[in-house]
Order: sequence, then structure tokens, then C-alpha cells
Amino acid sequence: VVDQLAVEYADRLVLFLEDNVDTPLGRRRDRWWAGYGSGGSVYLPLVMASSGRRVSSGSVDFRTVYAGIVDGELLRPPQAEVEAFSARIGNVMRVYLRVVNLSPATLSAAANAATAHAVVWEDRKVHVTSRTVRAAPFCEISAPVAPGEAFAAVLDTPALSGVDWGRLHAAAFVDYRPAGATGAFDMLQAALAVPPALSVSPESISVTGAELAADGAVGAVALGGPHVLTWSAASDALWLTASPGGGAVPGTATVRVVREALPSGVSEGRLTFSASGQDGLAFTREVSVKVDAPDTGSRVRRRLLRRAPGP
Amino acid sequence: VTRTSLTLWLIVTAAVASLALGEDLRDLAVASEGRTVWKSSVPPPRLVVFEEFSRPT
Repeated sequence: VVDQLAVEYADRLVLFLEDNVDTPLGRRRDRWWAGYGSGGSVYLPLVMASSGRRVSSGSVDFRTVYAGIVDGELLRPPQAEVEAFSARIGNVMRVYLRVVNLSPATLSAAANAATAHAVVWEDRKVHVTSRTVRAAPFCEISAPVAPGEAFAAVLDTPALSGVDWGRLHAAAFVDYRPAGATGAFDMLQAALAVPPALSVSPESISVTGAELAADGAVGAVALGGPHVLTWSAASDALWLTASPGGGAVPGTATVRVVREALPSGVSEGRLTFSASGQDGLAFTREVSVKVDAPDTGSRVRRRLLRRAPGP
Repeated sequence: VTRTSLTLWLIVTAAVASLALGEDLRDLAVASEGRTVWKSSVPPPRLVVFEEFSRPT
């Protein structure tokens, strides 16, 4: 049924994963028990969504119950922004995770067991379904993260063997206990990990002279990527600058035109953003800037001609 | 054409284009000075993680 659901929800934001109940990885199975509570008997299969906010066990109308759980969770707005990047480092999968807390709660391990997780799975049928979890590293969020604040971590799997690296994927997420020290966990948001890269947005800026702000600002470039990167900017034109000239990723650079150095007519320049960080990460992206400046020279000439005394 | 009317025209044009493309209008912001930017102020939808714990057979 889960494989069937994975096909049915292929175009939705749902990740179906399978774990071995006898060899728990990370804190995943603990989350199911926290969601279940205690008492009674439980039977396989155990399933959960959103770190145990919704759980089920034993024989049920699988299709109806599982789809109901997924549909209910899809309707809930996320409570965090999550960015995740993953890279193979030797036989380890490394996940770079950054979370912005959008919930009203301050996240901390001490207050509400807040934890960042990564799961690495292989598209391969080992037990029942075709998405088998291979590792689930985690770290507790020790320093409190207030609403609006960010948290970043690097999570490593143990050395992985006997896996097809071409079929491995990773996701990252953060969960916490809304009730405090006890009760079910809830997942704030999750993200599929993508290969590390530096992103710039926009990739081109085009303005006319009439649109130039008083301070020469023509736009802002947002830089994204793994949080372990630092970036610097270089310009190929005297009239084009980026400020600040460097910083941490993610970040923003204001692009400015130096009016005094801007030639008349159409000028095109290029800003090169370079970023590097641990694990040999190094990227370069360019932003092109085009300014159609008023022909100040001809305006001056016209003024001079008007001022010239007549015969 | 004043800058205000030009900006209004840009907003309307962008909104119509956005509808045509099926984009969420909340993601669209038209800055002053005639610069149009796409904002990602609205977080993306929730990615639901559904986990099954089973025993190898």
C-alpha cells in the first residue's frame, strides 16, 4: 500500500520512507513511541507522519488511514524554512542544514527536545517498500532558537557500505515537542537535500538612467547555498560595485552604480561572486548588470548651445 | 507617462502574467523605481515525511 501511495502522491510533497523496526536509526523509532504514548499492544507495521504527530499501528484500512494521515499533514502550513544540501565525503554522506524558526515557540533541547535530523535513504527494496533508510543522524538544538532566528548544523552519517551511492538521497528536518518535555513530537518542516551550490538571484539586472536611485542602488542580489560558505564579490567595471564585498552564505549584496564613473549610453558590467568553504566547496556565479544612462554629454552640449549668444 | 502610472501598469501586467502562469500572487512584489522582483517571503508548502517501520521478512 505504501508503494502504491508513493506512486499516487508522486506529484505531491510527500516523502515515503521505510525503516527496520529492529535496528532503529537515529531517533526515528523513538518519535513513533513518543507519538503513541503507552498502554495497550502495538503491532506491525508502525507508521508515522511528521515525527509522530500522527501515528498508526497494526492492521487498519491501510489505504484510507494512511492517505488520511498524509492529506491531513499536507494541509498544515510549515513552521520553519529548511534548506538542506548533501555531499558524499568519502563513505560518509554529509548534510548541511539550515533552519529558520517560523513557529511561535523558542526551540531548544532543554525546553522542548528540539532536534535537527537528516535521513539518508536508498531507492532499493530491502524489506517491503523501495525506499530504505540507511542512516538518520541528528543533533539536539542546544542553544535556544527564538522565533525568526536561524539554526545551522552539519550532520554526518556513519560510514556507509554496501549501498549504491547513485541511489542514495537525503532529507533534513527539525522537530520538537509542542507540549514541552513530554508528549508527541511535531515536525516543523522538511527539505530534500540537493548538491551543494551557490545560487544568485537575480542573475541579471537592467535599469535605465531615469530609474537610478539617488544612492545608485540598482538592486539586491540574494546569495544562497550551504551555510558553511563565505562569499566575495568582484566587479569588472569601475562604475559597478557590490556592498558588502563579502560575507556569509546566505547573504545579500546591494548592487550600486557609481554615477560619476558611469559612461553615457548603454553600459554593461559583470559582478563575479565567489564562494568557498569546508570540504573543498568552491563556486563562482556571475550577475550581469546593464545600465542605459542618459546621454549626459549631449544634454550638456544642448545647454551650452542654448546659452551661446546669438549673432 | 508618470512613474506612478508606469509602476501601476507594471503591477497589473505582472499580476495578469502571474495568473496566466499559475503563480501565487503572494510571491510577487513590485518594488519601487520600476524594478520588479520575485519575493520568496511566503514559505513553500509543507513537505510531509511519512515513515514506516517494518521487519524484514
